[in-house]
Amino acid sequence: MSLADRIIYERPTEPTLAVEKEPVEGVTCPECGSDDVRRYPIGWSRGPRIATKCQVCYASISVERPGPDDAWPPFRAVAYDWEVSAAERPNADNRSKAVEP
Amino acid sequence: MSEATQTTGAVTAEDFFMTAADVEREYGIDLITAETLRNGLIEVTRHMYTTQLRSSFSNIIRDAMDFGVCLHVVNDDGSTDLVGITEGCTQFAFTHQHLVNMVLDEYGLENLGPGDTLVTNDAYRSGIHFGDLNCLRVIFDEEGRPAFVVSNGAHVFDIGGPVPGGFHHQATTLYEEGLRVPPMLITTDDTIVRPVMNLLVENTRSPFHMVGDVKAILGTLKAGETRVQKLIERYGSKTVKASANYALDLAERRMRKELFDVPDGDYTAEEWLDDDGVVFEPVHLKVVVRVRGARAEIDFSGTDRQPLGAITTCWEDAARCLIGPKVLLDPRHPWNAGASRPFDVLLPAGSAVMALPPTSQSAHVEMGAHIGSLMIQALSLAVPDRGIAPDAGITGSIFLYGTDHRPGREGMPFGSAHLFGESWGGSRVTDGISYCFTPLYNCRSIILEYAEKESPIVFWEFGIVIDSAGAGEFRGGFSAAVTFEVLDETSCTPMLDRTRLPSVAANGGTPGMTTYGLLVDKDERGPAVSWNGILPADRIRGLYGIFDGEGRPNPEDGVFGQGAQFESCHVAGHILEPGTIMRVIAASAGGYGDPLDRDPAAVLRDVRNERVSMAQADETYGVVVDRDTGSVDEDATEARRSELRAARGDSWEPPPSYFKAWPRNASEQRELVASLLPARRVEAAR
Repeated sequence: MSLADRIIYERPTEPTLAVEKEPVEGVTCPECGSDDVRRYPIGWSRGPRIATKCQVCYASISVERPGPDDAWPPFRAVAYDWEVSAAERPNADNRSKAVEP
Repeated sequence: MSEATQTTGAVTAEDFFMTAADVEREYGIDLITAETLRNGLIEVTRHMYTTQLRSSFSNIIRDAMDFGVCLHVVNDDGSTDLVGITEGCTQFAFTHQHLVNMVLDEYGLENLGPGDTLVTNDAYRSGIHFGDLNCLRVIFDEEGRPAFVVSNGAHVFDIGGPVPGGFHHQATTLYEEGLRVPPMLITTDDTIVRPVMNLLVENTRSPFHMVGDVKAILGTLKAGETRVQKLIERYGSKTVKASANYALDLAERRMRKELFDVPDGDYTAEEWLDDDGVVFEPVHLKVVVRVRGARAEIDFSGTDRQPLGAITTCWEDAARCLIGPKVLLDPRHPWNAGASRPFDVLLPAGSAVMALPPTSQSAHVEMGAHIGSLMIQALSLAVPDRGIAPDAGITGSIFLYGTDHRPGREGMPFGSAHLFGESWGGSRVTDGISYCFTPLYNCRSIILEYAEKESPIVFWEFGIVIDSAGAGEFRGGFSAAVTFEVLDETSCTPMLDRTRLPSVAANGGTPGMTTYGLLVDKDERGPAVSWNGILPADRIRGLYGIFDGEGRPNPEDGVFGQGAQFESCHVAGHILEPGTIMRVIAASAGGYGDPLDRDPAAVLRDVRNERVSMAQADETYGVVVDRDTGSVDEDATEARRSELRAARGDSWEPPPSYFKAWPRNASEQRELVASLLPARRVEAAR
C-alpha cells in the first residue's frame, strides 16, 4: 500500500459507471426469503457504510463500517490511523471544566 | 460488526404512529416535555442563525444566507445525529450529518475538550467545496461526557487559488482551487489557535473579511453551546438527549409512513448538465429510486464518469439528493437525521457524483441543483398526485471580485455575490414562483443598494422576462434577469447552467427559457434598461446561449454559441473592463399540464401584467385577447384551442418558452410594444 492510496486516483476510462454489487452466497433474506443477497458500498444516514441487502425487497441484512479493503469512501486521510500527537488533544483531559460553575 | 438493519418492510400504517403512552414508555419522558424540547433544540439553531447573520462580514453569508447552522446529538457509540437545523442554505441540513460523523471518526471525539473547535473545508470529507468553512464544537454534559455537537458551514469571501472567489470552472484538480484544510483545531479551551487563523487569513484575497467571518462562525457556535447548556441545566442531559431521540424517531416514522404509501416500484429519471467548462459536451446523470415498503434505495448507477472540469462532486450528493424526499414526501416536518434513515444512496466511485481525488469540485453548485431536479422528477413519478415540474435546476448567481478604487475605499478588496435566482416549476394546483432559489440552496437575493455601496458596481435592472415561463395548465415562474455595470476591473464568475438544454416540464407542459449571458450597450439616452426583459438585438452581444443568425436569443431554432464569445457558461474569472455592462438571464422552470387547459382568466391576468404577450397567449395557450377591450374572446379562444390541438399531431414536442418576436432594433421594439399588448396597456406605457 503506497502513501498515495486513497489520495490520488486516475480518471476512470469507462464512459458511465455503476455500483458493483458483490453476490453473497448462502444468505437468505429474513423478510422475503430471497437468496439474491449482495454486498455493496452505500451512503447511509451516518455516512459511508457497507450494506448487505436483499435485492428483491431491499431489506438491509447488515450495515457495517467499511474496512480498509472496501476503499469506501474513495478518499481517506493518510494519517487516519496513526498515533495521535499531544498537539491534537491539548484540552481533551479537561472535560470536567465544562461543568464547573 | 453490523450497526443496524432495516426491519420496516412488512408493516401496517398504524406502526408509524406514536401515542403519548408510547412516548413515555420508549423515551422515559412525557409527550409535552418531548415536544417542548424537540422545538427547543430547533430553537437553539435559530439563535445560532441570528448570530451568524448579524455578525458575518461577507455579503454571501450576511445577505445571501449561504450558511447552515446545525445541532447534533452524540450517540453512545460516538456517532452523531443531526437533530436541529433552521433557515439558511438548505444543503447543509444534509451534508453536516455526514460531515460531523466523518470528521469526528477521523479526528477522534476522545481528543476534544471544552472550548475546542475543529475547522475543515474539505469536499472529500462532505465539506462541499473549499469555499465553505465548516466548524464544529462538542458540548459536554454534567459529567463531562460528549452530549451534543454544534456545527456551522459558511461560504467565505475567498479561499485563495487562481480564481477570485474559488469557483474555478476550468480546474481539473483540487490543487488549482485554493486552500484545502483537513480537520484541525481552530480554537482550544476557547482560545484561537493562532497558526490556523493565520493559515486562513494569509491564503485569502481579503483578510478583513476572513477574520470577521471566522470570528462570526466561532461566536455562533458559542451561542449555540450556551443555549444547549441552558436546556441541560433546566431539564438534565438525560431528558434533553431522550427528547433528541424522540425527535429523530418521529421524523423517521413520518418519512417511512410517506414511503409506505408510495407504490413499490423503480422510478427512473435522467438529467444533463450543459458541459464541464473544459470539454464542451453534456454531462449525463441518472437515478433510479427503488421504493419497497417503507424504505428506498437511491442509485446513481449509469451516471457519466467524472468530468474534467470542476462541476463534479465527491461525497456531498450522498446526502444532498435527499432534498427530493424532503420536498415531495414530507415537506412540512422539520428535517433531521431521522428522516434520512429510510434511504440508502448508491454513488459509483469515479462518477460525476462521486469523483475520485484529486479531482476538482469547486463549481459543485450546478451539480447539486441538477441533482435536486433529478430527484424531483423521479419522485414525481412515485407520487403523481403531488408531482411538480422541477425548478430550473440552476444556481442563478454571479460572483464579482476585484479591488475598489473609489474615493475612501482605495485598495480595498471587494467580493460581491449576486444570487438573483431562477424560478420554480408549475404544480398540480398552482403556478411556479419567480425570483427564487433552487430548493437545495434556498439562499436569498442580496440587497442591491448595499452591494452598490460595498462594491464598484451599479445595478441597472433586476426583473423578469416576458414570455419566459414554461407554459402549462399551471405555468412555471419567469426567468430572473439582472443587468449591472462594473466601475472597476472585475473578475466575473457565473454559476449557471441550462444554456444548451432547457428545464424539464411535467404532464404536457413546456420547458422554460434557457440561460443567457449578454454584454449590453446603453441606449442613446444613457440607461441600460429593458422593456419587460427585452433589449433590441443591436444593443446586445452574446457571451453564451442559443442565438439566431441575427444575434437574438432563440432557444427553439437557434444555434448554441452562434456569434457568442464563449462555448460554455462555465467561465471562471472572466475579466470585465471598467464600464462594461453585463446582463444575465437565468433559465426558467417548466410548466405543469397542457397549456391549452389553462384557465383563460389566468392567461389574461398574465397578459395584463405584461408577463405574457398577446402573441404567446394566442400561440401557446390558445387564448384570444381582444386588443380593444382587453378581455378574453371566449368563442375565438374555444376555436383557437381546437385548432391548436388538431395541429399538434402525435409527434408534437412542447417547445421551450421565450419571447419569439425579439426586436432587431429600437424601432422594431416600439412597434412590438404596440402590437403585443392590449390597447389600454400601450396607452399607459406611452
